[in-house]
Amino acid sequence: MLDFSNKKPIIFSYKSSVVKTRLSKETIWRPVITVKVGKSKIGLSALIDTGSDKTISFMKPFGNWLGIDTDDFEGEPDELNGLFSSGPAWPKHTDLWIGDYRFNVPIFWLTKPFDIESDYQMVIGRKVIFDNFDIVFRQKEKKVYFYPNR
Amino acid sequence: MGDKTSKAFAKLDTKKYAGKCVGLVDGKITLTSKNPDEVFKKLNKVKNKEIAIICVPSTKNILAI
Repeated sequence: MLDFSNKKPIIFSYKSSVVKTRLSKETIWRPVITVKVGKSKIGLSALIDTGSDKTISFMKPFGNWLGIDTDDFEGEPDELNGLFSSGPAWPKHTDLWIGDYRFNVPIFWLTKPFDIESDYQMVIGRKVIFDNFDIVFRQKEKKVYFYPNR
Repeated sequence: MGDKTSKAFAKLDTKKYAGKCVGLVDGKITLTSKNPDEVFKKLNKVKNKEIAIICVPSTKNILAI
Protein backbone atom coordinates (compact mmCIF):
# COMPACT_ATOMS: atom_id res chain seq x y z
CA MET A 1 0.00 0.00 0.00
CA LEU A 2 1.36 3.37 -0.95
CA ASP A 3 1.45 5.91 1.85
CA PHE A 4 2.66 9.40 1.06
CA SER A 5 1.30 10.98 4.22
CA ASN A 6 4.73 11.51 5.78
CA LYS A 7 6.41 12.70 2.64
CA LYS A 8 6.60 16.24 1.34
CA PRO A 9 6.35 16.32 -2.44
CA ILE A 10 7.85 18.72 -4.91
CA ILE A 11 4.90 19.90 -6.96
CA PHE A 12 4.93 21.18 -10.52
CA SER A 13 2.01 22.44 -12.56
CA TYR A 14 1.44 21.13 -16.05
CA LYS A 15 2.15 23.61 -18.83
CA SER A 16 -0.15 24.24 -21.76
CA SER A 17 0.39 24.35 -25.50
CA VAL A 18 -1.92 24.84 -28.41
CA VAL A 19 -1.66 22.00 -30.89
CA LYS A 20 -2.80 22.59 -34.41
CA THR A 21 -3.52 19.57 -36.53
CA ARG A 22 -4.88 19.53 -40.04
CA LEU A 23 -8.46 19.54 -38.85
CA SER A 24 -8.43 20.99 -35.37
CA LYS A 25 -6.76 23.14 -32.78
CA GLU A 26 -6.69 22.19 -29.14
CA THR A 27 -5.01 23.08 -25.89
CA ILE A 28 -2.99 20.29 -24.36
CA TRP A 29 -1.39 20.14 -20.91
CA ARG A 30 1.87 18.33 -20.29
CA PRO A 31 4.07 17.68 -17.25
CA VAL A 32 6.93 20.04 -18.03
CA ILE A 33 9.09 20.96 -15.04
CA THR A 34 12.21 22.99 -14.35
CA VAL A 35 15.49 21.34 -13.46
CA LYS A 36 19.00 22.63 -12.82
CA VAL A 37 21.80 21.03 -14.76
CA GLY A 38 25.58 20.83 -14.59
CA LYS A 39 28.13 22.59 -12.43
CA SER A 40 26.75 25.97 -13.41
CA LYS A 41 23.25 24.85 -12.38
CA ILE A 42 21.53 26.42 -15.35
CA GLY A 43 17.77 26.07 -15.20
CA LEU A 44 16.14 24.29 -18.13
CA SER A 45 12.68 22.97 -18.79
CA ALA A 46 12.11 19.25 -19.10
CA LEU A 47 9.23 17.07 -20.18
CA ILE A 48 8.53 14.13 -17.88
CA ASP A 49 8.13 11.11 -20.14
CA THR A 50 7.18 7.86 -18.47
CA GLY A 51 7.61 6.08 -21.78
CA SER A 52 11.25 6.99 -22.09
CA ASP A 53 13.93 4.82 -20.51
CA LYS A 54 16.52 7.54 -20.73
CA THR A 55 17.02 11.21 -20.04
CA ILE A 56 17.79 13.05 -23.23
CA SER A 57 18.97 16.50 -24.25
CA PHE A 58 20.82 18.24 -27.06
CA MET A 59 24.56 18.89 -27.25
CA LYS A 60 23.86 21.92 -29.41
CA PRO A 61 23.28 24.16 -27.61
CA PHE A 62 22.65 22.84 -24.09
CA GLY A 63 25.56 20.44 -23.67
CA ASN A 64 27.87 23.12 -25.03
CA TRP A 65 26.53 25.63 -22.51
CA LEU A 66 27.37 23.21 -19.70
CA GLY A 67 30.90 22.70 -20.96
CA ILE A 68 30.34 19.11 -22.01
CA ASP A 69 32.79 18.00 -24.63
CA THR A 70 32.47 15.11 -27.03
CA ASP A 71 35.65 13.70 -25.44
CA ASP A 72 33.63 13.33 -22.22
CA PHE A 73 31.16 10.88 -23.73
CA GLU A 74 31.02 7.51 -22.02
CA GLY A 75 30.95 4.51 -24.30
CA GLU A 76 29.20 4.02 -27.56
CA PRO A 77 26.24 6.01 -28.87
CA ASP A 78 22.71 4.71 -28.79
CA GLU A 79 20.29 5.22 -31.62
CA LEU A 80 17.27 6.74 -29.93
CA ASN A 81 13.83 6.37 -31.36
CA GLY A 82 11.30 8.25 -29.30
CA LEU A 83 8.22 10.30 -29.89
CA PHE A 84 9.91 13.48 -28.76
CA SER A 85 13.43 12.91 -30.01
CA SER A 86 15.43 10.55 -32.13
CA GLY A 87 18.91 10.07 -33.57
CA PRO A 88 22.32 9.07 -32.27
CA ALA A 89 23.05 10.13 -28.71
CA TRP A 90 26.04 9.66 -26.41
CA PRO A 91 25.76 9.17 -22.65
CA LYS A 92 27.50 11.39 -20.12
CA HIS A 93 26.78 11.38 -16.40
CA THR A 94 25.72 14.88 -15.48
CA ASP A 95 24.44 16.47 -12.28
CA LEU A 96 20.75 17.25 -12.38
CA TRP A 97 18.70 18.86 -9.60
CA ILE A 98 15.00 18.45 -9.04
CA GLY A 99 14.20 20.80 -6.22
CA ASP A 100 17.07 20.40 -3.76
CA TYR A 101 17.69 16.80 -4.75
CA ARG A 102 20.79 16.19 -6.81
CA PHE A 103 21.28 13.18 -9.03
CA ASN A 104 24.13 12.11 -11.24
CA VAL A 105 22.17 11.01 -14.27
CA PRO A 106 23.35 9.46 -17.52
CA ILE A 107 22.03 12.07 -19.90
CA PHE A 108 22.01 10.98 -23.53
CA TRP A 109 23.18 13.89 -25.61
CA LEU A 110 21.74 14.05 -29.08
CA THR A 111 24.17 15.36 -31.63
CA LYS A 112 21.53 16.74 -33.95
CA PRO A 113 20.82 20.42 -33.29
CA PHE A 114 17.95 21.51 -31.10
CA ASP A 115 14.91 22.75 -33.03
CA ILE A 116 12.89 25.22 -31.03
CA GLU A 117 9.90 24.62 -33.25
CA SER A 118 9.47 21.01 -32.27
CA ASP A 119 11.84 19.91 -29.50
CA TYR A 120 11.76 19.98 -25.73
CA GLN A 121 15.03 21.06 -24.16
CA MET A 122 15.18 17.88 -22.15
CA VAL A 123 13.13 14.73 -21.79
CA ILE A 124 13.37 13.08 -18.40
CA GLY A 125 13.06 9.33 -18.59
CA ARG A 126 12.72 6.71 -15.91
CA LYS A 127 16.34 5.75 -15.21
CA VAL A 128 17.62 7.17 -11.89
CA ILE A 129 14.91 9.81 -11.50
CA PHE A 130 12.02 7.37 -11.28
CA ASP A 131 14.11 5.19 -8.96
CA ASN A 132 14.44 8.06 -6.52
CA PHE A 133 10.98 9.59 -6.66
CA ASP A 134 7.50 8.17 -6.59
CA ILE A 135 5.92 10.36 -9.21
CA VAL A 136 2.19 10.95 -9.17
CA PHE A 137 0.46 12.51 -12.15
CA ARG A 138 -2.76 14.28 -11.23
CA GLN A 139 -4.12 14.91 -14.69
CA LYS A 140 -7.37 16.42 -13.49
CA GLU A 141 -5.50 18.79 -11.19
CA LYS A 142 -2.85 19.43 -13.89
CA LYS A 143 -0.08 18.82 -11.41
CA VAL A 144 2.72 16.32 -11.00
CA TYR A 145 3.97 15.34 -7.54
CA PHE A 146 7.51 14.13 -6.90
CA TYR A 147 7.67 12.19 -3.62
CA PRO A 148 11.28 11.47 -2.62
CA ASN A 149 11.71 7.82 -1.68
CA ARG A 150 15.14 7.84 -0.12
CA MET B 1 12.74 23.44 -6.76
CA GLY B 2 11.41 25.85 -4.19
CA ASP B 3 13.37 28.58 -5.87
CA LYS B 4 12.75 31.68 -7.91
CA THR B 5 12.94 29.88 -11.25
CA SER B 6 10.36 27.25 -10.43
CA LYS B 7 7.99 29.84 -8.99
CA ALA B 8 8.36 31.97 -12.12
CA PHE B 9 7.95 28.94 -14.36
CA ALA B 10 4.73 27.97 -12.60
CA LYS B 11 3.30 31.37 -13.54
CA LEU B 12 4.78 31.52 -17.03
CA ASP B 13 2.19 31.49 -19.80
CA THR B 14 4.01 29.12 -22.12
CA LYS B 15 1.50 29.63 -24.93
CA LYS B 16 2.60 33.26 -25.07
CA TYR B 17 6.23 32.26 -25.59
CA ALA B 18 5.75 29.42 -28.08
CA GLY B 19 8.74 29.17 -30.39
CA LYS B 20 10.94 31.32 -28.14
CA CYS B 21 13.49 30.99 -25.38
CA VAL B 22 12.90 32.95 -22.21
CA GLY B 23 15.86 34.09 -20.12
CA LEU B 24 15.18 34.27 -16.39
CA VAL B 25 17.45 35.90 -13.82
CA ASP B 26 16.36 35.29 -10.24
CA GLY B 27 12.95 34.36 -11.62
CA LYS B 28 12.46 37.54 -13.64
CA ILE B 29 12.17 37.55 -17.40
CA THR B 30 15.09 39.54 -18.76
CA LEU B 31 14.93 38.71 -22.45
CA THR B 32 13.30 36.48 -25.04
CA SER B 33 14.64 35.30 -28.37
CA LYS B 34 14.12 32.64 -30.99
CA ASN B 35 17.86 31.99 -30.70
CA PRO B 36 18.81 30.07 -27.52
CA ASP B 37 22.49 30.96 -27.87
CA GLU B 38 21.68 34.66 -27.88
CA VAL B 39 19.89 34.27 -24.54
CA PHE B 40 22.73 32.20 -23.12
CA LYS B 41 25.43 34.68 -24.16
CA LYS B 42 23.70 37.48 -22.30
CA LEU B 43 22.78 35.50 -19.22
CA ASN B 44 26.14 33.77 -18.97
CA LYS B 45 27.65 37.12 -17.98
CA VAL B 46 25.40 37.30 -14.92
CA LYS B 47 27.17 36.19 -11.76
CA ASN B 48 25.85 34.94 -8.43
CA LYS B 49 22.25 34.84 -9.53
CA GLU B 50 19.85 32.09 -10.46
CA ILE B 51 19.88 31.67 -14.23
CA ALA B 52 17.36 29.76 -16.29
CA ILE B 53 16.73 29.52 -20.01
CA ILE B 54 13.34 28.09 -20.83
CA CYS B 55 12.68 27.21 -24.47
CA VAL B 56 9.06 26.61 -25.43
CA PRO B 57 8.30 24.50 -28.52
CA SER B 58 6.24 26.12 -31.25
CA THR B 59 2.52 25.60 -31.20
CA LYS B 60 2.53 24.65 -34.86
CA ASN B 61 4.73 21.63 -34.76
CA ILE B 62 4.48 20.27 -31.26
CA LEU B 63 3.55 16.61 -31.38
CA ALA B 64 0.05 15.53 -30.42
CA ILE B 65 -0.46 11.86 -29.67
